[in-house]
Amino acid sequence: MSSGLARFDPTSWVESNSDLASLRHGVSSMAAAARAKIASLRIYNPFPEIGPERTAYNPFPEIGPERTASQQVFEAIQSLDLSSNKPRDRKIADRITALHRDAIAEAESILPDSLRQFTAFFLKHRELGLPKVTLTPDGTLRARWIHGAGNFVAIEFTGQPLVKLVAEIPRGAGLTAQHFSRESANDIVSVAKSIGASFE
Amino acid sequence: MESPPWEKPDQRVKFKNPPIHELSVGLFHLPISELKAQHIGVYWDIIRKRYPVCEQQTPIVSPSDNAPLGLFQDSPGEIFPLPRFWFSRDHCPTLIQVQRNAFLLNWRHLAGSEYPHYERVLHNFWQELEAYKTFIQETVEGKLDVIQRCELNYVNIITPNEVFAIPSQLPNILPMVASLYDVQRGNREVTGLNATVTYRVNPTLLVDLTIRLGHRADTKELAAGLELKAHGAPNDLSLDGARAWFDSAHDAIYSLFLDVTDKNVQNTIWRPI
Repeated sequence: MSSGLARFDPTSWVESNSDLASLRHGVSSMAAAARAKIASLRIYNPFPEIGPERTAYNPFPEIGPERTASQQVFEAIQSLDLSSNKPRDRKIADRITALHRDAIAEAESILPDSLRQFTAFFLKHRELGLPKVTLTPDGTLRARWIHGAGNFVAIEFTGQPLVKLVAEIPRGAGLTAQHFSRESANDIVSVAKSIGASFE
Repeated sequence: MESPPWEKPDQRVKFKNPPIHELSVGLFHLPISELKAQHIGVYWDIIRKRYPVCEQQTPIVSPSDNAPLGLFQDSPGEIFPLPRFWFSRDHCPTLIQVQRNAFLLNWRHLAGSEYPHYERVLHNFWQELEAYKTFIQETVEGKLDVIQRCELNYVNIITPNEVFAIPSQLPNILPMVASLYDVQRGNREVTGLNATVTYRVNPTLLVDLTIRLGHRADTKELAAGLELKAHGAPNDLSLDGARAWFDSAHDAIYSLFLDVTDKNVQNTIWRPI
């Protein structure tokens, strides 16, 4: 019986290919070299002692592993947590975590398409301020930038190509403009700004 | 005084000579970007009396991780990506593994070592995890939250015995593979097998059953591998939720092991206690 330690690692991964192109540029890429060594580890061999050795080639790269229900929620949280816009996005990630746990405790859930759209939106719009994020009874996420009474803009991430925009914008002389519309997720920020909404 | 968990009465069948080779318990969490190589030295200092050997390994990438963001992206102040670390002791079956987004504990069969069973290994896991969690909180000011994936992995290796001496006798151990032998014709015979099937137990829990047939690379002896790996995450992605998850995973693996292995082998070779 082998000791297991030296020759057997049940959690090890056989390397497939690597990003060797990144090795060209001298020292800055010693780190890249180290990274390349671990870039594409996909095939798991639980029995390295039992020959013949498996090839490191994955014949079915397009067939992914089965995943559990919460994996998408984790991925959204992780992408925000690790975003380069750290202070804002980490707070959003913490809020999504809390909303997810509250929803689970009440046998509800965040709509996956809404979460996907919400995450993509904030990763794209790094310039926007930190909103208040809530979960609607429909399971969609809503982000609100509130500046005072009668002065806010809110986006509800429907998970559909059109998201909902709700805004109240002061117009002077005690008047408040009210907007309710649906707009493409790609254009929502520019449309909202064009009517005077602020995402600070 | 209350008995430790591994001494409490258990309705499950336990075997005197189980084929287990390795049991690992693992937890993958949000990458701790603040965790740097210098912190690992501090952690090792905490556990060094029990685990005097420290080695570096390439990080594990979870197969459910579409984009292993936190492991490989640049971290401020870091020149080399943080590897996975092994902490062990010579002739001791326990191995601790740490990487930026994971903590694992393995029990490995060593000559003369007796399998302590799941409850004891899990108890060790939580004990070591608690120490690691405290270290992460106090030294790194990080946290082991949110949980991405839990893994409970049983690796069994079956070597020749009274009913398994040649490759064609694998169905004596694993009746489910019998149909693979039905298509043998003339000189065409089964000499090896490498297959994985995934069972969904519930929305949070999957079990991969991997069967391998071949010859040991070191001794050339015939061997069959049977790996049962439960993986998934608690619905709320919390560390507290992981406790219940591991027990469900153990139930699922236990039940699957009994269902896929031959009853006669269970009774006469592995022998219930």
